[in-house]
Amino acid sequence: MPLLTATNLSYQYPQNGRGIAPIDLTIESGEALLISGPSGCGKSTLVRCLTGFIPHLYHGEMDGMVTLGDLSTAATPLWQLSEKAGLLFQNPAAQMLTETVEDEILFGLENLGLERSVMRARLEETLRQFDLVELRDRNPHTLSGGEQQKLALAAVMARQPKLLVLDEPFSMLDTTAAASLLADLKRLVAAGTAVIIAEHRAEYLHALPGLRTLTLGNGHLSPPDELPHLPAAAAAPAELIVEGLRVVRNGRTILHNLNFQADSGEIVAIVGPNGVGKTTLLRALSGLQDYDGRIHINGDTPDLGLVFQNPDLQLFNASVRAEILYRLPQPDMTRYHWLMDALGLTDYEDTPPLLLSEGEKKRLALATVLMRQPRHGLLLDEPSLGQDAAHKQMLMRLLRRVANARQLVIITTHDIALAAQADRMILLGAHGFVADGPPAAILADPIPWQRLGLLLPDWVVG
Amino acid sequence: MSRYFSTFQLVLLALFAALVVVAKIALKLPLQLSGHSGIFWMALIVVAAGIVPKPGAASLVGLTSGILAAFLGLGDFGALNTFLSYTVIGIGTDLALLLLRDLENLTVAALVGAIGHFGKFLVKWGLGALTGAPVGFVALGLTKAMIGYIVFGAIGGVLGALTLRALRRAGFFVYLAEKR
Amino acid sequence: MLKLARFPRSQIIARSPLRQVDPRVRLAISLGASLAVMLPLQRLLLFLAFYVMLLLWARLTRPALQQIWRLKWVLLILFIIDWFVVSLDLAIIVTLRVLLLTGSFAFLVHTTTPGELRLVLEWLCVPHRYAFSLSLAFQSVTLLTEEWRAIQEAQRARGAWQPPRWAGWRGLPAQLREMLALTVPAIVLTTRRAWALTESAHARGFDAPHRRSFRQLMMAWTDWLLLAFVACVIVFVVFYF
Repeated sequence: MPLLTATNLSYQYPQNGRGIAPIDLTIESGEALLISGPSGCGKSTLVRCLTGFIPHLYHGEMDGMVTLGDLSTAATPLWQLSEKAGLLFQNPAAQMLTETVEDEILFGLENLGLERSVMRARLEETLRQFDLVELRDRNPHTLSGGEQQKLALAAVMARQPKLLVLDEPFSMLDTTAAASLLADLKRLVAAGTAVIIAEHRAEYLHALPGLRTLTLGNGHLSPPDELPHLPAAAAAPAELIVEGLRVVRNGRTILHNLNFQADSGEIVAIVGPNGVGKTTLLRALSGLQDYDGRIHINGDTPDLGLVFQNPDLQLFNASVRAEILYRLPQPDMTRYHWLMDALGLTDYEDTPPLLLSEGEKKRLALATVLMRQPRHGLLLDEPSLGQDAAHKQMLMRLLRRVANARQLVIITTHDIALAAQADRMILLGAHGFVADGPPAAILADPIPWQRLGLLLPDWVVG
Repeated sequence: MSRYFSTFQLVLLALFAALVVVAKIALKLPLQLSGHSGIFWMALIVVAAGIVPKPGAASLVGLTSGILAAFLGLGDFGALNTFLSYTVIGIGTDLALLLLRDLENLTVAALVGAIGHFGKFLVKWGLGALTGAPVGFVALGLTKAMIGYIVFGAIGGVLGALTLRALRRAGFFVYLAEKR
Repeated sequence: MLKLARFPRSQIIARSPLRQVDPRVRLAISLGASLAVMLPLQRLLLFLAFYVMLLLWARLTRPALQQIWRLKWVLLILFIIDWFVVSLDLAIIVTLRVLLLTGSFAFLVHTTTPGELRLVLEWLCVPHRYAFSLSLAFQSVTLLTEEWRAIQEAQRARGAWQPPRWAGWRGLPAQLREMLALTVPAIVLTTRRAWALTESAHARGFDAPHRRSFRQLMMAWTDWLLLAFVACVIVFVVFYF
């Protein structure tokens, strides 16, 4: 009997009609399936249908049938389904339920109702398998993103489900953490666990043996071929100078004596492992973070607009239009329409922001900052997170237009493919900059990457 | 198995309780008046009751935030007073909601906020009486504070109602309607 | 100015010998101390002497003194007014009762972790799902504090919000509307976090009817001894002194 069978499965969310069209699917032990497709095509919805989260936790209309082993997902309680299929989510930090690594693993074991001696044995085995023994007493929220993802995987796998389903597990990981997760997945598949992965960063996954691919949706976003120039007079050339930048937070030195210069008109990508202070650097450049040292542009305090990683921090108005025009007494409507067009938001002018997809919300947050017309340029924190290739292309094209208007653009990212399209790449480590230069040159030299403990993806190495 | 609060509602209310404590500690308005922290406090309880519209939701937020606040050392009069104050505010809000329903109406929300926050006064009075202090004297001492509790509770209720309206306009309740 | 203070550190006194005691005993001592508030003056004094010795043994004198210091003006004014308005006896007993009431739960709150509290609540027959939600609330305080800070920064960065300045009562309605730039994102983020936690819990079998807790509360003979000793003192103070 197959581990999982989906027959004529379709689903529609209750309010906006989004969902997935009818799908048939079968998974056997030891198989690996990649569910790919552009943002918003229903990958996350499908994994929730396959694991029973839909219909148990979501309203809406589900048709067809999903069976896990011999259990119909619609007719079986979720706690019972979770014994057959484990589900791992995109954001590891948001999955942590307890105070210690040990308790995080025990949480799922307790729900199986095992004898305490069995629980203890499984706990020790899982800690060993996932290299978490040293971290067993740590608070999960103090772990790095990669460690958290490993723990989340360990907590699910300790329950020994036959099927593991992962929803965009790579999107928040740096290259090293991604490689480590891939190694764990290979091991699990080799041991007979079936794995389903919804992911658009598929470059990591082709190393999984016997990987099948299911592509959802054909509505690939195709941005307009020609994007007109940013409707603003090009600013005068400007040079950002950072001298002796040092940031201490909660008694910990985050940035150590950083010095660099950047010219208006260039796109600079700052790459580094999770937790080295990339976001802190952007906060200091935007004036939100106290620092020692000096930051200036042509002798003035810089006016750089910061686009945060999480758009939900900013959105609160009733419509996309109201959000973008909020607090602008005399908005430049030519710029507004250009932004709506360039960011693919024209159809959503009257839509409440919270009903947009994650990618659309990120673009809206960018529009709110660009509409304010910061004098010197833009800072973007992980702008490609959760975005598919077409959205990244749209983003880079817009940033190029902004740079062409002699504005400075600085992005932080662990997306090497995005960083490779910048004019300049800077590698940031725990003790300062490790390399700085054109992306092609930086990518060609493996030594600074090794110093950072970052792995280069296969497409670069190859 | 059908539960009174779904897991989501339960977790959401617990996180609102944490938010109450965060607001109490971390946010200070530029008012030189005691009790003004009640603005955020009541606003959050009103929003919680608006998002999880079931009797007991505000009480659960009050009870949970009371335990949190007591264990985190909030309040000058010790853990017991802190625990009771937070809890009674939640219960008071729930009692007010038995009569007053439409939390997006500013007047209703102001009344609910004022009644809920008034519970704090009752706790102070009750504990004062327990220590044997003359009741009249305790009441006299607390009269000024009582006015503050009512006024700031009402303002908090209004902020809660404004937040609920803004959330509705921003599509929050549509997002919420997908979840069980 | 709207300030975002740093969140206080955990209150737990790790070196307290009470940390080794079953948390139910700590709860019992705290309840006993709060009930002792009703004792008349002489018995109250005797109980307070015992209470102070217990604080010394438990190494909780520092937090207890800090608590009293925060209350110094209240206690002083209370004492003086009671003395002048009623009598010295009443002033003493009311002040001592307020002191005891303030510190009665110190034995519990300074020595008990959220995990232990969850076990105690489950022992008291609070359903696991409620006790679990309480531990989530404990963990979320720091994360939500960071989120508040991030919201303020994000709104300032796009010019949507400025820290308010007090402009009189007439300016209050406008300031309340201004606050929506903070409260709406805060509610949205909290709700998304709650949903993520809900899904994560269900992915690991939450609400299974056959759940078995790995950690258990176990009364050691020393716990029974301490409990019996405290009970004897209370009985002695109440009935024989």
